[in-house]
Amino acid sequence: MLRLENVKKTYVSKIGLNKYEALKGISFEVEDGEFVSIMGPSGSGKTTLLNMLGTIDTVSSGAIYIDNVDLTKMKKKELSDYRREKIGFIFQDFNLLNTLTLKENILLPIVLGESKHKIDFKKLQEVTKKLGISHILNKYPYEVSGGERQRTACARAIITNPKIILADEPTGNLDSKSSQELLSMLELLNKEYNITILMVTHDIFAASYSDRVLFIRDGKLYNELIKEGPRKEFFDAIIDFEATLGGGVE
Amino acid sequence: MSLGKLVLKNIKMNLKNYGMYLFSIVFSVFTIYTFFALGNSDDFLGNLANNAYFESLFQSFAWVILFVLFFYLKYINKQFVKSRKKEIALYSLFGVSNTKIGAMLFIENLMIGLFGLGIGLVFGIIFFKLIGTLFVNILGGSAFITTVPFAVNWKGLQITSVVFLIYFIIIGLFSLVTVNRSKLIDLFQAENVGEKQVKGSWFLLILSIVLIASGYYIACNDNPVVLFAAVLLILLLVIVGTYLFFTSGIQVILNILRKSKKYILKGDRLLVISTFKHRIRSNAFMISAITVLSAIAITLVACAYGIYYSSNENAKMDSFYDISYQMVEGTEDYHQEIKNILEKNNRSILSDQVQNFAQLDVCNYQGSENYCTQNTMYLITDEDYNDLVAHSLIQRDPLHVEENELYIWQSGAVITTNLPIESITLEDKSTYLAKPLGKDNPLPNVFRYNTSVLIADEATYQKIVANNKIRSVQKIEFINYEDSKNSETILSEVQAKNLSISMYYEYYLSAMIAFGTMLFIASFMALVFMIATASLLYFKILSTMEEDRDYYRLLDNIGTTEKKKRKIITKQILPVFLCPLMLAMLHATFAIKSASTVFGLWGLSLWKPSLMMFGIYTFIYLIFAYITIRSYQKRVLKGTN
Repeated sequence: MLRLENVKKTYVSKIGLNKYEALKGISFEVEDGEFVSIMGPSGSGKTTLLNMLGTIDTVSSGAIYIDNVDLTKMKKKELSDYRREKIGFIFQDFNLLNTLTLKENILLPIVLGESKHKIDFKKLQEVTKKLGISHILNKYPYEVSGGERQRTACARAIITNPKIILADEPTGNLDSKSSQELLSMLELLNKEYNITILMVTHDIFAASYSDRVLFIRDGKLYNELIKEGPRKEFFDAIIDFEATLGGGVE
Repeated sequence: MSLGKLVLKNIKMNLKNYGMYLFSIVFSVFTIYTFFALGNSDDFLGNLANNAYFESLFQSFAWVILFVLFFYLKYINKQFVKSRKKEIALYSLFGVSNTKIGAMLFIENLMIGLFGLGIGLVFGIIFFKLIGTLFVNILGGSAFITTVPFAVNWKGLQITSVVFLIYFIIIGLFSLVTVNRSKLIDLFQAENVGEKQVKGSWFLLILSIVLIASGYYIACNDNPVVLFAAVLLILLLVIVGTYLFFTSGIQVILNILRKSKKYILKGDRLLVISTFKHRIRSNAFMISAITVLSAIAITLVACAYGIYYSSNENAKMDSFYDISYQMVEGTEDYHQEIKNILEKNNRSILSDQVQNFAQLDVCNYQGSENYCTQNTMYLITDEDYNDLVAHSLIQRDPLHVEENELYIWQSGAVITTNLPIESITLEDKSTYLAKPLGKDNPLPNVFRYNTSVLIADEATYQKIVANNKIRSVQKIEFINYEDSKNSETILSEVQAKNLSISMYYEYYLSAMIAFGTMLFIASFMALVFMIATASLLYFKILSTMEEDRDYYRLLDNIGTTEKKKRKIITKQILPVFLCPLMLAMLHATFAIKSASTVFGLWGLSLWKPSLMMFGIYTFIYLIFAYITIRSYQKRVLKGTN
């Protein structure tokens, strides 16, 4: 279970004259196995929030609990372990290394050694087959399409059996067909492996795949929508809600 | 696949990224090994050269270059680590501790370093024969043994290896500390590109131009004493001017271009100007430093080249004749000895004459009319002088001296230590105005130091000789012989016989050795310098490549063709190389002019070596610009689908 308590993030300019509050106190909970989307206008603090969950960035105040352990109190080494063992990342721009084949990219988190996971080729086979990239594993990232790259990043995120996947605009660079395929994959991972997914997105279509949508505005939690019926209905509900927000939301 | 394998694989796959880094290391190692090896090869220069001189010279410059190379390699390493931010961020993301990433980079660095060291040393050893031969030829070839042996210089090998090993370890530790300190969020965030629009300032643009122009103006001064005193001022004016120009001035010009709708909205100009503006701004300090230092390097080589090529002319001016000596006590058998040596070497004598110089006491005034210096000077007639010049190695128009006037020739040492002599009073109280003979009308250095020679017309000469006491009559024999430029055996025989004579060949040889070494070292250093600065620009431009990808992805999205994108890239990068190149050549033009005034190189035509240096410099920069543009295109466009 994931719990945020009054999380704040303030950026102070180098000389200390300008302060900017990116997050003004955010609290929410995410159950194990939940698929949650975070939406909001540009600059509302979505990515900052995700970065703090992924321990890429630090909080200014507040606490983040994962299974009742406070992330913000962890030491460097513990943070490394947490990132490696519990979290998988998917980025908008894929973040694959061009010098490694897709297979090597997927195995990278394990190869980097400090993981307790052994290289599990059966799992690699299984995952890449599900993601539809098993036939191109020996190619390099620049030789395959954007959708295939993002699915590779997906495979890399789950190869270590993480509890949580953090996805930052995963469909941002994909065409609609690839987006749909990727979202189905995420849904599948969520349902079949019971992985908790937190996804920052602008895309209403992408958000409609999740169980719950959190809206953030001006660094604060603004509202949430919970999926109760089929995806199509949820999609319409999100559109309606955004319409009530008026301008400001892209 | 293990961690070690990953490191290896990464190096292998990154080879083209490492390419330029490796090249920088190889070239640095090659230069340093060559310098140490040349300094330590006492066996190939033979006994005519003073080997201790070469040793200390080459080694001192090797250390100077090493000192500069340290900062160069460290900077390159920094850019290199920066360009791999994404990779490091991913490692960190997957839970590898910063210490371990640092260690990985350290090992990788060390491996690349050792690899480069190895290749550099191999090149150094292979090309030593070639470089050594080149060096010997610059020094005047035939005087030394002509074939440089192929040999490994162990001492050079040891010093080079040890110093570079220490360098790699220190630089590796620096990057280890950098990585260890970096925060994950910084690694993920794009470089703070801060595309802040700089307006630049008209004031600073004008100021920079005024500063540079006044520097140029002072540099054109014809008075060497004034110019010498102003060297630091000129440097300061030009350096500050250059810096202001690149930080602020050029932005004004670019802004004008940008605002002119007629200009900017045509073709790709908008894209080219805006990117160039940003590149210049973020690299202003480096570009101005490169400009100034390149100008200095060009000036040094052009002057060294000019002086070197005037060695022969200078030797002729100094020696006047192939052989000359003062006929004093103990030199009675010199004539026969010289004749024997020349005969033995099958050289026929072309001319042989003895000239008398009358020595008398004078009182000369320098700057002040109240104080005179007692001195002895030599006196000859203008007819004798013209006759002496006519048979000498140099060609000069005959000198015509009016009645009751004196020309005065002073040897080099006198000119530099004292004020010029203005008037002369002889024993009989007669006073003459002393006209300086000028540098172009020489007399032989057989008189050595602190000697002055007076030249008078026949009538005045007779009057002076009749009315003043002649202390003594100095006789000097002047000899010319065939093919005096190849006299290494004659010189060694003269030295073996211990004859105290002045020989053209000896002057020629020592000038060639001194100025040849100077030219060799200056050229080598300038080459190191140009390659270093050009590769700095390369690294600087490629280090932002990751961030620039988005830019070209955007161009992709608005339907720019691949060909067009390549063109845009070329137009954006080329000026970054051309700007410092052009300004450096302009600076160098004025610097060379002032250097030739200060160092008295008037007679030398420096335009030929200058043009040659400009050519080489432009060539190297264009090659590096080409490599930079190519690899940038390849890598940026590849990532954009």
